Amino acid sequence: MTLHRMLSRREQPRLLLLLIGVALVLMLASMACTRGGEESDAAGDVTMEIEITPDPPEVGPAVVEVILMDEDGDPVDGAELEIEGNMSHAGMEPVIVGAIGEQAGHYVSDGFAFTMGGDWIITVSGTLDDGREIERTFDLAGVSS
Amino acid sequence: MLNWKHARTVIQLPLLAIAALIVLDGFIGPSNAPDNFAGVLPWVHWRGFVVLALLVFGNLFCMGCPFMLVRRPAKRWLPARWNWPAWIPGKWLAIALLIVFFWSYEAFDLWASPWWTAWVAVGYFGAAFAVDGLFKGAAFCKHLCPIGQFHFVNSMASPFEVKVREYTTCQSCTTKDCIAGRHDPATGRLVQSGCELYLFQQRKAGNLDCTFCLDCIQACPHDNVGIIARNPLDEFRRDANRSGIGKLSERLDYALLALVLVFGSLLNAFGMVGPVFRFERWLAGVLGLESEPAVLALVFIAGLVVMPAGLVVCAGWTSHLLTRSTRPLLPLISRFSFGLVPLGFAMWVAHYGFHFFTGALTVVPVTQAFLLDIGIDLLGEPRRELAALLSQSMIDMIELIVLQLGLLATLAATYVISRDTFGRPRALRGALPWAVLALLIFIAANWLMAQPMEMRGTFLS
Repeated sequence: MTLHRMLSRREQPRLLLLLIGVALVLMLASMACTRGGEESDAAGDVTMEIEITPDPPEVGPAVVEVILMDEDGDPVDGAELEIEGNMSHAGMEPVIVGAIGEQAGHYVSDGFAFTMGGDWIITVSGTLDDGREIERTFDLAGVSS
Repeated sequence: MLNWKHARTVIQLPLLAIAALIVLDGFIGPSNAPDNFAGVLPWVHWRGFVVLALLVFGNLFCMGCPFMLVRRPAKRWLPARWNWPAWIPGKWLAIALLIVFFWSYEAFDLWASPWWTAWVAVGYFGAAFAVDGLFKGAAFCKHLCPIGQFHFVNSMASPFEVKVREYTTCQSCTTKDCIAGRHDPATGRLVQSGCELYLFQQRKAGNLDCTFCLDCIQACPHDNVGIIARNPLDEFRRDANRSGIGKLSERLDYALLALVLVFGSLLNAFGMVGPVFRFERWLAGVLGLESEPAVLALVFIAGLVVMPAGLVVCAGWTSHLLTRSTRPLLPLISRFSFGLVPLGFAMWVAHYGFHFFTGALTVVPVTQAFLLDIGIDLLGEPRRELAALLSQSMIDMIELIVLQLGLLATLAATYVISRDTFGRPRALRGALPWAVLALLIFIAANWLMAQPMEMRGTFLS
């Protein structure tokens, strides 16, 4: 017996509506991280690393050093960068500071501090010398209090 | 206005829109919780508004529950004719789900994952639809919903209650529409449901199991049911035979639910402070465990089952000895356990209030970023510096005051229960062990709130 025959005329549109709802949810769930995520980084050829002092990190003043390199491993200078630190739990005030460019693709945070212990998300964003935008995110687990 | 047929729907629809936004952004938005509606709205705002609403009003968030909007099609589309299974009565399954929810919140860092938060919301809609589509009444609310149980128990401390205005009017009422529902005299069709949690207004006492759904208010032909101000201590004054529940002294499942929420208030905050990670690492080392969920499961079994059981048995037994009571111990423990609810609620208010007042304004930059991302330049660039609603010193002061009020309310409730149980001459002796337990909980709560926060997803790596 086909599904069409098993269901009454009233039940068919209800089942269809349910299936559309489930399909919509599954489609949305599979589209993770698409809102606004594509435009913010147009510098795929540039690698970014960060180093944090003190290591391991703890609550209080800290230095976030950002290192930019192109695909040949050469330093990328002249970028204007901003460093934003967020707790992994929503609802905490972020720490937003600028980064001062030093030599050989190194940039150093200006007045960064971990205001609370726990897991942090460090986002470095800005503009490269050639005008392209760059944004990278780093998970930093276990800043001790 | 509450008699208006669509009054509840008007409250539910905005919350449905917010739930849809949480699901949408949870699935397609940034994976960082602070940048996503699914990270901000449920874990900062919704929890904050829930405890504030319970504190100043009552069970407003069950009244506005968006998950219940799917009940209407579920009741129409599915049979909805089964009785809830007798082998899982009362709150046992809800208690298990509540413990699983508290555990999974820590074990899988729900607060840090918008994607999983969105799935929790979707799962809620699906479960409400399926359960209420298959079973009679409001089975999902009464027997399953962990959020609802949180509201039910903590609304014992709320200043408003859905109750009868004049009991003499009820005595002369012949139709009892508040429980049976109102039917069209011509067709016999049900036009207004009565209470689907089986709370008969004439014998209803207190806020337990009441969703503030307004059905009884709208069904009553005499306009004799309303949301009425009360003294929350009335909840504890008599061991009344409550409609749909019975005597609290005879409901071990309700007492355990209350205890899980009282001690859960400590454990939920305990999971966010520094010392817990050192303890969990130590425990993992001693037991040779490498799985964080397993370590957390042990912590939760100890903190929500073993420790509360040990403490309340000690308090109940001592109370029994001091009063030389001949009453059985278990009903006594069951009833006195509810006296701890105001203090547990105060801890929830302090904890969730902290998150709310610390981060209420974070919704502004999230909204600005969301609008920009979907191409609407209405509110400008995200102002990421916005976060706290109040200064830290003021939040600390509010926490302290709330916890002190919670302790006072619990001491008063405990005395009221003791006086009703043992009589006035033995009331103080009967209440003393429970007052000591309340003081221990109060000290633990203050210690926790004084700890530096350390919100970690991992502690073994």
